[in-house]
Amino acid sequence: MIRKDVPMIDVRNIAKYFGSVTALNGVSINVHAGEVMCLLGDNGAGKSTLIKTLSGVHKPSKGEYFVDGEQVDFDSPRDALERGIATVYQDLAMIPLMSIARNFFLGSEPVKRLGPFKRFDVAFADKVAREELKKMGIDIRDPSQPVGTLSGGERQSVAIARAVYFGARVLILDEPTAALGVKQAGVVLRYIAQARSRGIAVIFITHNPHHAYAVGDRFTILKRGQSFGTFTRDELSREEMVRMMSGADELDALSHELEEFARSDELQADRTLSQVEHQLAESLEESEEMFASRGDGS
Amino acid sequence: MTDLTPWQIYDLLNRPKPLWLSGCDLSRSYLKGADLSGADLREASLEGANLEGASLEGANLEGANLQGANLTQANLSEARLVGASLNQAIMVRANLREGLLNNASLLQTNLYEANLRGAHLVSADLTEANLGEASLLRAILKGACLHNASLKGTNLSGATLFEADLEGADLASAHLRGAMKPNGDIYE
Repeated sequence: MIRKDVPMIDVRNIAKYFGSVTALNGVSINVHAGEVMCLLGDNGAGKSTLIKTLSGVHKPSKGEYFVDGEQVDFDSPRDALERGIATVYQDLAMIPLMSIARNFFLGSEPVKRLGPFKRFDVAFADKVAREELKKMGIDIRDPSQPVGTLSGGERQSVAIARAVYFGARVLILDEPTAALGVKQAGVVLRYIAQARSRGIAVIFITHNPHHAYAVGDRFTILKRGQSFGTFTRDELSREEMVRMMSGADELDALSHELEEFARSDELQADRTLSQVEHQLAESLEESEEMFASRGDGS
Repeated sequence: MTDLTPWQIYDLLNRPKPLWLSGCDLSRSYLKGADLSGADLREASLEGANLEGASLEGANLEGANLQGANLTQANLSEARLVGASLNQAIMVRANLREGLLNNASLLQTNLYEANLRGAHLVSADLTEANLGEASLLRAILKGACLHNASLKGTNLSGATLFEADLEGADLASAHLRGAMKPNGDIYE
C-alpha cells in the first residue's frame, strides 16, 4: 500500500561496509506513525546492523536517512534519541537487583532538593513507574520490587514503557520475544499492539514469523544484508514468509541431514535389537545346557 | 468507444487537479501527453486509448481497463494498478517506478525498456510479456506468472522472484545477481 503521509523514519538504499565485508546493501525501509513494521531475517541477515544504523550507533556507508521527511546524519545514539528514536535491545539495559522504579529512571533520575542536597525522588519515581506501566496494561504490586523478580515479558514491557515515557515516537525493538516462552511472548506482543494504538511507530525485529504476523502491518525480509521487499499482509502469508526466509536449498540440506540422522538412528536401533536378541538366544542356550547337564547329573 | 467529444475531453483535462474520473469511459480516446497525475481512475475504461507520454504519476488505476492502450513513455511512477488489465498494452520505455501492480494482468504487454524499479508485481500475470532491456531492479515479482515472457537483457538484480513461474521465460543475458529465486534461494 502506498501511503502519502510522511514516514517517521525513511531510509533509502542504505549500505554498510566493514572493511571488505558488506553487512547491508541497498536496504530501504520506512515506518509511519501508528504502524508496526516487522524486520525479519535469519541469523546473519543484517538485522542488527540495520537497527544499529537506525539508532545512530553506526554511520551508513551509503544511502539516505530521513526522520519526519528531514534528512539526518546521526553521530551518536543520543542524536537519534533526541529525534524520538528509542531502541530497546535484547539485554534491556536493566539492573536486576534495582527496583522497577529505579530501573525505569536509570540515567534520568528525578531528584528532590533539600537545601544544598539532592536525593532520588522515590515517591515521584514510584508513582510515575506505576502509572506508565498501568498504561501498558501492567499492574505492578510494588514499584520498589527488584526488576529481577519480574518475568522476561514484564521486563521487556518495563523497557518499552520507559522508552515511551521518555518521548519515544519511534520504538526499535530488537528481538523482544527471542528468549521468551509462548505466554510471555504473547504479553510482549500485546504491548507492541498497545504502543501502535498510541500512535507510536514500531520497528519490530524478529526471526519468528509467527510473532511478526501476529502484530505486524508490513514485513521486510532481510537476507544476506539485502532487502527482498516490504510486504503488506495481503501480499505475503505467514507460510510464504517462512519459506522465503529459509530458502529451499537450506531446508533441503537440513531435511536431508535429519533423514540421515533418522536412518543412522534406525540402523543403530536395529543393531541394538539384533544384539539383544543374539545375547538373549545365547543366554537361553546356556541355561538350557545348564538345566540339561543338571538333569543328567541327578 | 467513449461518448465524450474531443472538446469535452479537453475541458475535462483542464479542470483542477487531481481529477476524479472513477468508472469513466475513456476508451479509444486521444490523451497523448495528458496530465492525469494523481487522478482517480479506478475501474475506468481506457481500452485502446492513446496515452503516449501521458503523466499518470501517483494515479489510482485500480481495476482499470487499459487493454491495448498505448502508454509509450508514459509516466506511471507510484501509480496504483492493482488488478488492472493491461493486456497487449504498449508500454515501451514507460516509467512504472515504485508502481503497485499486484494481480494486474499484463498478457503480451510490451514493456521493452520500461522502468519497473521497486515495483510490486505480486501475483501479476506477465504471460508472454516483453520485458526485454527493462529495469526490474528490486522489483517484487512474488508469485508472478512469467510464462514464456521475454526477459532478454532485463535487469532483475535484487528482484524477488519467489514462487514466480518462469517456465519458458527467456532469461538470456538477464542480470540476476542478488535476485531471489522462485525457491527462496539467491542467485550468486
